[in-house]
Amino acid sequence: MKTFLDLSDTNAGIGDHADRLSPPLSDGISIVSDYPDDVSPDATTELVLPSNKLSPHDSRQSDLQRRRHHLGPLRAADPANPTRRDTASAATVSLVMIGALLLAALLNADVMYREASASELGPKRDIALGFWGPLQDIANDTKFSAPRRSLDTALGRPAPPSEPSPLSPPDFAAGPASQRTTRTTETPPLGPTEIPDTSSPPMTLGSRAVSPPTPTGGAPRAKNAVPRSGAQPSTSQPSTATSAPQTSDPANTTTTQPTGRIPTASDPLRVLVIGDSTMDGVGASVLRELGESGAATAELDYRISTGLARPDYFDWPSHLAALTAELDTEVVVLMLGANDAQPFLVDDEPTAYGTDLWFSTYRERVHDLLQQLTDANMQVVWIGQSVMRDQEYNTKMTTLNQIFQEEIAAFPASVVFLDSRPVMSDTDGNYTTYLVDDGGQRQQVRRNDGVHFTPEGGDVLAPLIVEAIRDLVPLPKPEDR
Amino acid sequence: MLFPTVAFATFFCVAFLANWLLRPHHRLWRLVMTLLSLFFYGWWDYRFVALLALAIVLNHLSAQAVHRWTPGRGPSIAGQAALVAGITANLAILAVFKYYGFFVTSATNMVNRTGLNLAPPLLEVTLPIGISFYTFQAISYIIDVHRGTLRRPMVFLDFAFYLSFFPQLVAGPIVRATEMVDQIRRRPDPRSIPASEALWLITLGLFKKVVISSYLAKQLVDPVLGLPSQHSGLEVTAAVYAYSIQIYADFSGYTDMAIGCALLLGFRFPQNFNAPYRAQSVSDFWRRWHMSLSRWLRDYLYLPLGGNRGGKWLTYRNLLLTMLLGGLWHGAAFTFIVWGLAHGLMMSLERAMGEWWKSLGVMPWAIATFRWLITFNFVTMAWVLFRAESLAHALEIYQVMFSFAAAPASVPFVQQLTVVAVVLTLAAVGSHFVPPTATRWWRWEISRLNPAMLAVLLAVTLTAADALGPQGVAPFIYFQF
Repeated sequence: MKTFLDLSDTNAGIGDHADRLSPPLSDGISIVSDYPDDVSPDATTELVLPSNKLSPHDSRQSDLQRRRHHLGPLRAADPANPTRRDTASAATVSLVMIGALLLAALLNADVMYREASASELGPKRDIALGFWGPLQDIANDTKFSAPRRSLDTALGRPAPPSEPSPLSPPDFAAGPASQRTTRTTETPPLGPTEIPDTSSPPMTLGSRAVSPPTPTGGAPRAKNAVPRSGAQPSTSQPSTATSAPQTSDPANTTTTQPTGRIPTASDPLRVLVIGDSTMDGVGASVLRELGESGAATAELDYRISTGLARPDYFDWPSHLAALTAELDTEVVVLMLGANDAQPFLVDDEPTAYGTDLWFSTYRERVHDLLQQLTDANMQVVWIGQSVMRDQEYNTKMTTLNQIFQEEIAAFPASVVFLDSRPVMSDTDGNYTTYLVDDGGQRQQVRRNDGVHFTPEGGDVLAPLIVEAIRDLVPLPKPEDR
Repeated sequence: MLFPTVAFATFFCVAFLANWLLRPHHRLWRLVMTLLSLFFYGWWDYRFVALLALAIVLNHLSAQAVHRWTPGRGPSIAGQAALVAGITANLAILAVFKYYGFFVTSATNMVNRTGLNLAPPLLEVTLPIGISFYTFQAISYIIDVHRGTLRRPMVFLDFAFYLSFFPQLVAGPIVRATEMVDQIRRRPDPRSIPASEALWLITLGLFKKVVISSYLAKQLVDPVLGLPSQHSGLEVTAAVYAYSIQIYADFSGYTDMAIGCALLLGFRFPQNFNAPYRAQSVSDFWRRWHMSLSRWLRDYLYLPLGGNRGGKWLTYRNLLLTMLLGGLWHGAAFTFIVWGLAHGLMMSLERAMGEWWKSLGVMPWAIATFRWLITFNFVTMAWVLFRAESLAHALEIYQVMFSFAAAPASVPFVQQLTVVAVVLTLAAVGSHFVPPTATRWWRWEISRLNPAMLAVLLAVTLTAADALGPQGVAPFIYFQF
């Protein structure tokens, strides 16, 4: 008769009562001694062994057995000499571990220095740079950094710059990274060492895939801006749009200028969707929504922990210059700024957020980026920062939104500002995680971090974004097709 | 801190030295190791530490009460009440942090469909990492005290050490108190650590996570399953199989690292994976996948429900209920519920059909292959629910896979699929059929290296893993549970 708990089949599965036993848990670990009661007077717990199979530490064992007991067969013994054990002393293991870490630190000093420099300005970063900087010098002098560089080159990745750039990204918005498995739960926040510069390969819509932008010698700090090729589809070849279905759309498609032309299925509008990690929840929805228009191809390229504050970490203007030229982009949809309320260097001087110099520099960067894009005949939909749960952070984002709007005002014909706050807030204009959709269903639109959007939130924003594109370009609506 | 980071490597070196140097001083050792574990947990968010401390105190008191009011081995009302109160408190904490939003949203949506318009307050809390894991451990502990499996509750420091022990804290294995109590009390020989086995597990886990899982995620799974409608059926199918490997590599990689780290500290954890994709039935799969969870569900849910002793229909009910709750344990979403139910249904079906193939008189290898094919494909198809953001998203993936919905003609056949991804997926499935003894020779060879060579080998391995993996570490899938 089985009892409720039959421990004799500890390894059996649900709905299964007969299987072999689990291996002794202390297999391979030998015991020096128990703690005698005088050493550990409070160690009074006793394990009752319902069957003596659960644990080999049977209290009925002789003292001798107990003091020197190799518990069961070792996992790896010399096939020729089964009495030899593959064990090592704690001292040896600590030497091996510390030695391996030091050697690994030397081998990877370049990469580590870059990652350290990519953390927020402050004492933590100073300490990290103080450690990795000299180590990098040693590694370079002793050629220890050479193997990693060769390896990176062999793998088709850009070697980290040998002359370290002194900066970093931030991290309010380094949340869900590229994993899209988060639902109503929280992904662990990424620490400074885990900040990837590439969140995912560019997603593609329609008939072509993005190939990696190549480092352009002329572009300032292009090295930092080049994505790691590991994230690139190695088979992707920029094919032409000829596989698109030919429709008998009578509209004139010969215009090459974005303005005024009516995109069609055979000559679709070329859209590039970029941003930081907040684009993670939104980008896919925008691509889907654009796909439904039947007259647009879109690429998504978001990089977590990026923005305009730290071009030393990721240089969006250079990256965009290369990418838009390659894709012959007509419209850029962008959402940047969530990571930007942090100090950055101006003329090598750390400049705190909130100072006049910070604001004037940031303003200049926003203006320059817009100038660069509009000079290249592109049109821009700039998605403003949404309401944030944290009050202080929300205030900062409101300030940035104001800067965006003021700078955008200089480009009335080619840039639109999309304010996501009205749709993303509750009836009082405050932050909300949940919204009620048209069908009366309550949907979680923001992730639990109070910053990022869920895919449902993306579905709310996407139609507005596509409408904003229609303000610039006569993109046909699905029902017009 | 995540395992594959410099921060953790440094932390682990400190913990390793502290562990072996302090081990002779039992009380101090437990205290310092517990504090180190709390530090490890607080690295994500210092507020989590308070919650873990609360869990430790709460469950310690519960166990004491249960023990005091359960005289002898006989049942007592007071003991029962203390047990129920303890379990309820644990589940309440879990419910607040993990399920509140989901249940309240689902319930109001259901009610509002009838025309009412309820808007109950919604908490917006961050899900503390690993809460599902340590809550389950705590529940099993107080039940074990009640059942008498543990004759006495653990002393406070032992219990605090056990519940917070950092290798298993955030993503299992779900180690039971009965498995730890002896290992805490008995001092292993510091001259004899199963180092080569441990280092082998750690490097293996590192490769599974950093190289295999991350590569498949970034190259194929995330881009394709994020936007299934924009990819061909072939690619979506490949991505679904790749996801099957991704989740295995991700979770078993974490477990390997956890078991390896624990071994270096003188603890042996129960095995958590045993070549799960070799399984010949879904029940068999659950004896091989996340074994510590299946064991938990069997002993503390399935068997108390009556197991298979109540006749055919009760057994089916118990299987369904266990798997449904097991599904919900993974996350607060309908996708997880359906996923659990699917597994429960399949297990009931297997039970109902019995060993039907025996009467066929077909060759055993053909039967085995057939059963393996059914099981592997079922499990893989079910993972779609695990990955999908919503049931609608899962349906979309299935539709494209089975081409119920014709892909737009403009979608090229291959955009993300690479030869490497296909080979990696096939090789990972194939690796399930390699007997575990095959690594024995290799491990033995490692153990014979002198410490300097071992350190070099380890450093090179770390460098290779870092270079091959994408920059930054994607969050572990299982962290969100």
